Amino acid sequence: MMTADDPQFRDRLLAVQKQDDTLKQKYQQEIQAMLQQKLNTPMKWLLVIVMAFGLLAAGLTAANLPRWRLQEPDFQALALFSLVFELTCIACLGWIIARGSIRTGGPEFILALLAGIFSLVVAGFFEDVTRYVPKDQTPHDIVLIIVFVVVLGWLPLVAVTISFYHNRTREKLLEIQYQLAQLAEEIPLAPRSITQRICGK
Amino acid sequence: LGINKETIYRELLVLRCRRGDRSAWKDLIDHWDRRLFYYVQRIVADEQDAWDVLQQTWLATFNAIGTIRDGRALPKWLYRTARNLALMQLRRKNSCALQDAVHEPEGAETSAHEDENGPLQFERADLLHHALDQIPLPLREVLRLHFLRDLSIEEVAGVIGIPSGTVKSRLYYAKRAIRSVLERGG
Repeated sequence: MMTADDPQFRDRLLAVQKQDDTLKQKYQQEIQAMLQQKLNTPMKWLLVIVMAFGLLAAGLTAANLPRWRLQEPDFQALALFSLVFELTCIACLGWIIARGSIRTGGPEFILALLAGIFSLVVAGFFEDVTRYVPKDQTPHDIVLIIVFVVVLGWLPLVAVTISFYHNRTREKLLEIQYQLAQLAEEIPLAPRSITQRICGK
Repeated sequence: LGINKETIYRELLVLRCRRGDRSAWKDLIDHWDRRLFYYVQRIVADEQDAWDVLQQTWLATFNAIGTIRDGRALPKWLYRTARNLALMQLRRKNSCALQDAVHEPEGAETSAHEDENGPLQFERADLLHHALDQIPLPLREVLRLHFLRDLSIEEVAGVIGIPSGTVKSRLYYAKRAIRSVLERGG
């Protein structure tokens, strides 16, 4: 006689449940497709457009670098930083487009898109504002605004990174806990094996 | 250690899924598929519908995995989502079946009793499985969740949206009903 508290009760009950093989196979294929989210055509085009804008922004930043060299060194450093950032974002987007899929639940897509949009904002800001600043004036205020924009743009990335590492640490801790739980299950066997060893059996 | 191995494993899977680990997703689905299917099929009856509901449940889980902060809350979340989707499916197909699914069975609102005849015992799982289909859906639902042993009474109450006391009384009536079906010989 078996009761609901029996450890094998659930498995025996689940085993009785009949499943149509064809329907199950179809379901599994659909789940597989869901896990590996292929980029559809509109999404691909959207990413290509974002990447093209990113390239344009990077080109503008690079073209303006000699002009900014004559101004504040801080300003030039920011411009260089912006250029590197833009190129990184473009590389990320290119990688996603080339792979043709997004990992479900992964942060890479959101990160890349955020970074891409942010790079456009910063680059556009650089280009537009500096055009109207007289060459003999030091653009301190503009530098401050750009620093603010950069910090603001980086905040979500920093938050995501912190959360990612927090989860990784938690994951490691759980792995250790899991191994300990596994060992705890084996503990009742340990005294016997020690006795066996002492008695030489 | 206080926490059992399965609970740790489930929480670990949720964390891995949150960072987009595909093999973790596969493990998570493998771990829950059969139980969810077993539960859902008792609500929607048609197998194709049950698979559809299950697929929608996973799609909802993919989209919401970032919001599930505590991995221990996942079982309740999965069962509740599957139930809501199954009821939606039922609503689309057959409103009469839905009435049967959500209506309270006669006398189920009485207070909970101790199981007078002791724990439910059985020899053959297939007999119990078929007997389950012959009791009213609200009782069947509670008993199935109880048999699957993934949720506490409070969590079952949360999934179905009824007080814990009602879950206990439904369990009592469900066990009594199943016992009488088994005694009648299925």
